[in-house]
Amino acid sequence: MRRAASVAALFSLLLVAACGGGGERPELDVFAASSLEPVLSRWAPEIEERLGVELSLSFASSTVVARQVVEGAPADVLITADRRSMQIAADAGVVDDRRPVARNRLALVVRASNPVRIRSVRDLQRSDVKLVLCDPDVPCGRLAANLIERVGLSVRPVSFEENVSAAIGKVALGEADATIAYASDLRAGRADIEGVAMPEADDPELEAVYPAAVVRRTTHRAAAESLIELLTSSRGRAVFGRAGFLAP
Amino acid sequence: MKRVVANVGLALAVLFLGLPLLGLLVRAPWASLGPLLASDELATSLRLSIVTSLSATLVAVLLGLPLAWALVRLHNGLLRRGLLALALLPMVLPPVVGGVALLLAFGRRGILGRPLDSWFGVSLAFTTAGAVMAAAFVALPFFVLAAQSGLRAVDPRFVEAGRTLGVGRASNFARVTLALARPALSAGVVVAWARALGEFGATVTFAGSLPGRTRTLPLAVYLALDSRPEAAIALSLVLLAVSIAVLALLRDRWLASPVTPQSTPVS
Repeated sequence: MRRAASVAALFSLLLVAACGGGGERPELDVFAASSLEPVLSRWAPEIEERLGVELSLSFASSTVVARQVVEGAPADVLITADRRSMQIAADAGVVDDRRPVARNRLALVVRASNPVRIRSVRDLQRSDVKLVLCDPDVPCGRLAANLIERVGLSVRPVSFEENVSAAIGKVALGEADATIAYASDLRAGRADIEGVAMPEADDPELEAVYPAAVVRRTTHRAAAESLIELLTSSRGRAVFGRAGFLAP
Repeated sequence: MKRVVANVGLALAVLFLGLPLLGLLVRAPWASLGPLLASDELATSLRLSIVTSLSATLVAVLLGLPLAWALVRLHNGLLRRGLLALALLPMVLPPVVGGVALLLAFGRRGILGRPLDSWFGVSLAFTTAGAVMAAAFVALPFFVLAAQSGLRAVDPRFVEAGRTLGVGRASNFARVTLALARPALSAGVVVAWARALGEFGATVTFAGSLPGRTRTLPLAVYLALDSRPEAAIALSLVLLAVSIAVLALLRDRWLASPVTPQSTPVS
């Protein structure tokens, strides 16, 4: 009996600890594409300061965050890495007007110090290179597939990852040698990966566009709108630019 | 009053467990189910799932049987408890953590993975063998638990009888102990297999996701849900059907009265 009581006490303690910390500032829930994680996480304290809100960031592939918002996830702002995922949310009538906040170029990402010596995108065809790609169902995979087709490469990826962070993680851990991710991923301050020049990606049609929208059900509409305002402001452009993104 | 509370609780439990199933059945694209079930995507991931889950079960049995036997025989409390904790850890560990741990052990830069890769050029991550390992890792405890309780329940008098009749140790173990524990062992096999079939977290972390090689049914369901929900529901229905079949298989083992050694004929 005493044991049951202490187990119950431990559980409630954990619950309280997990739920605690609610301040008076409104909490703004942002659901965003994985590739935005480095820039938004680093920028979050400043955003919270400027807007007087508590930011709660949730990252997954664009298709996943869009679906979560459609299914009723408690989001105030949705930012995807392509127009197609945002269209899913728009078609379901759960978001308001969309505004592009940034663009991103594809990048060839290899492990730090490039141990298998990948010099160009053509090296991805080598049989000794383990290539992981994003799945063609998510934006980075769709763009990578377009790039591979345009350049006319024949590659044999060992895995199709579910989002760009997972693809980079496989390279950073050393399980894979290379992946095609975004230019912003190389500016995230990671020491375990590096980029290889890929002029083939210098093409507006191979760029990711990031639309942002206020979720219709939001209870913090003013704060949500000012967040999108901030993302598209000159300050926003400067932060995105430093993080490796292009202006919208 | 008490009875009302109990009944409300029961109704809530039934709703909680039943509604998701209902949701799956209601939202299922019955009209287009035929083409979806006949698609290459489903055939490929179903075939892969069957191969990997059966192989993983085999691994779990081959590794789990000696483990369970040791747990039954060991009397040293500390050693036994340590071994038991090790055997059961994958059951309580989040599967994704299991996948990370497998990477750090058998990945290309892992403890054992690095020498494997540099000496023999063998790399397990992103291979079907890796998917089997991930599934076996999470399924093993389920078999060990069942096997341990089955082996423990074997009446030592039967084993003794076999010995006095001059049966060799190995054959005594196989023909008496294992035979008597067979109901528990088969239940363990079925549960371990079901767990291996449903494995997701460790697989996607350790083995990645490549159609035909490591993208098993659960991975295909998760990925399809984002862009092709109908396909995801169709794939889920297949897994649901398999789960119901497993329950049917287990019915005699678990829902019937517990098997006693006395009631099991020695074959």
